[in-house]
Amino acid sequence: MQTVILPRLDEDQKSGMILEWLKGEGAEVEKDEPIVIVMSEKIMMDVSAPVSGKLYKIFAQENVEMPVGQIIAVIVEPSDDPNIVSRFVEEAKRSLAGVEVKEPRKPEEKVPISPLARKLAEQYGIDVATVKGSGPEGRIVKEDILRAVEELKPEAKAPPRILTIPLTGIRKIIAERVSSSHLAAPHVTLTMDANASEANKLKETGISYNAILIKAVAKALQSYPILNSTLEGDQIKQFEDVNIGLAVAIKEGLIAPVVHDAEKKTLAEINIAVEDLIRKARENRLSVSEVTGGTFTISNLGMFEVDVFTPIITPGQSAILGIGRVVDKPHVVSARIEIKPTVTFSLSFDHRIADGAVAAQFLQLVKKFFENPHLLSS
Amino acid sequence: MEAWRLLNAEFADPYMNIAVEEAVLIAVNENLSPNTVRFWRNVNSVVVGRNQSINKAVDLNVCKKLGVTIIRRFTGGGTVYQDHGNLNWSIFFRRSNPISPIIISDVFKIFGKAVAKGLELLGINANFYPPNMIQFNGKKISGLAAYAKRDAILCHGTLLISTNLDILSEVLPLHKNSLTEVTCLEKELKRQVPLSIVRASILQGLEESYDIKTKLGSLSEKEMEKAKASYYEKYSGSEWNFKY
Repeated sequence: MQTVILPRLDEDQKSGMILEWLKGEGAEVEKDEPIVIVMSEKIMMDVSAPVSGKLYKIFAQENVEMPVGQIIAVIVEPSDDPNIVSRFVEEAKRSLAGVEVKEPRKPEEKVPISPLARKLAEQYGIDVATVKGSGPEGRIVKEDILRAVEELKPEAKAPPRILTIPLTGIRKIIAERVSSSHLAAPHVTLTMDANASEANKLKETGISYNAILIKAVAKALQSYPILNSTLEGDQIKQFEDVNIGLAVAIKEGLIAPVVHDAEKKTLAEINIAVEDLIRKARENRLSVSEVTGGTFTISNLGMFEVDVFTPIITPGQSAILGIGRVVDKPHVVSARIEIKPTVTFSLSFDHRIADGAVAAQFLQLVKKFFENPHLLSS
Repeated sequence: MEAWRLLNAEFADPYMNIAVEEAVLIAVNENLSPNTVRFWRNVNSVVVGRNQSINKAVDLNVCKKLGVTIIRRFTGGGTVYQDHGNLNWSIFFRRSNPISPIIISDVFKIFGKAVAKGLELLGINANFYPPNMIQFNGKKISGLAAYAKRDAILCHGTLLISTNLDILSEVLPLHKNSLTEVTCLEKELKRQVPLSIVRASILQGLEESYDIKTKLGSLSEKEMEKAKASYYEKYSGSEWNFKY
C-alpha cells in the first residue's frame, strides 16, 4: 500500500490544488503512470503512481485548496492485507476531517453547460451566469440559450448567415503549402520597374512575355545560382538544373507547370513549351513530371491589372518572381519625359539563403535581359 | 554536451501551436525527442491559463469585435494577449539533465535569468523578477509558466517586443488594475527590435548561462501525429477552450 501526497512545487508553497484526476477511484494503475495533475499558482505537475495496483481511495476533490503534504490518495497492491488497508483509510479520513480545507471553486466560475450551448452563448453574447439551465442537474442546454436570445431587446440581431466552403482538394493543398512556406522562410520582396518596349516588339512576333521572362530568369540564375537553391536543415543545396515553374490560374486554384532545363532551351523552344503547358493546365491534362521538379517560380498577375504584389515562395525553393501588368509610365530620358510601357517585377526571396544585395543584383540582371531580349539568344 | 534541438515550429493556427507545445513535452518526457528550445508566435490571440476563468479575465465582446481567437493552454498562470509582436520561447528538458532543479519553481529563475541575460547582450537591461516575470524599466515584458511531467519539464514564456498594447488592454480588462504595468521592448527603447536578433540573443543567453548549444531541427512524425490528434480532440474545441 502506498499513499500519494500533494507535492510541493514552490519553495514557500503552503497549499496547492488537484486540477484533474486522470484515473478514477477503483481504477487499476501502473507504476509511474500519471494519475493526477496538481497545481500551484504558476506550475502544473503530473503526479505518477508510486506502485502498480488499484487506486483504492481518493481523498481530495478537484479544485479544492489543501495543505502541501496532505494525503490525496491510497494505492493498494495485490499483496496488501484488506483489513490493514481499511483501518488505514478510516484513520486517514479521521485525520483529514480535522484539516482545514477551503471551499471548492464557486459555482459561477464553472457553469454546467453543454459545449453547443456554450458556443451559442458566445456567438450571441449571452452571459451564461444569467441563464437558468433546464438540462440534467441544472445544466444549460441549447434551448436555454435560444430562449435567452428571444428575450433579448428587439435590437439584438442574429449572427450573419455564413456560406461554408470546405477547405479540400487543391485549395487545401495550396493553403498548407503557402502557410508552411510563409512561416518557415523569412520573405523579403524587392520591386523593380522594367521597360517593356523591346519585349513588346518580340511579343508581336508571337513570343509571349512569359517565355521572355522564363528565359531571362534562367539566364540570370546562372550568374546567381544561390537563388536556384533549397534549404535543408542547415545546408543550402544549389540545384544543377534550372526548372522554372509558371503559376497558372485554374478553376480550382493555382498550379505551376514546369519548364525543365530552361537554361538549355532557346526562347522559341520555351515559348512552345509554355503554350503547351498552359493549355494542358486549363484542360487538367498535366502529367506528374510536368508539375514537379521546379527550382524557381514565376507568377504573372498582370492580366488582372495588378501592379505589384508580394508572392509567396514555393516550398523547397528560395525565390519567386512576381510580374505585374504592363502599363504606360513616364520615364526621364536625357532630361526629357518619354512615355514607355513599363512592368514592375516583385522578387520575393528567402533571406536565410540570400541577402538583399545578391537578390537585387539578380533582379537587375533579369531586368537587363527583359529590356534587351536580343541578349537571350547569346 | 549534446546540442539541444532548436525548433522554429510556428503555425498560423494558434490551437495547433498549443497542441504542438504539448506534443513536444510528451515526446521529450518519453525520451523520443531531445531537449528542445522552441520559438513561436500566435497571431491576434488571447491565451488563457489552464484553469483561469474566461469571463473574469477576458472581454469577450471586444475579442469578437477585433477577431481575437481565444485559446486555453495546458499550463497555469495568467491570461495573455499575443500577436506577432510577441515571441513565445519554450524550453523542454529531461529531468535527468543537470539543469533540472529540485524545487520545480526554480525553473522560472533559471530560464528567466538566462533570457534576461540574452536581452542584456542587446543593451536591454532586463531583469528576472520573482516569482515568474521578466521586467524592463520596472515594467513586465515577459511572464513564465511551467509544466512538470515525470521525466521532463517545460518552462515557457512570452516576450513582448512590439505587441499592440492598446488591443492588449482592451481584451484583458484586468490588466488596468494589475500591480505591474505591462510594456513591450520597442515602446521602451523607442526603436525597432528585430525578431531574429531577439531569438539569437536568447539562444546566446542560454549558452552563456548554461552552456546550452542548439542545432536547428524539426518536429518528428510522432510529435506531429500527437499534435494533430490533440488539436482535433481538445485544443480546437470550445469544450476545452471555454471550460471555465
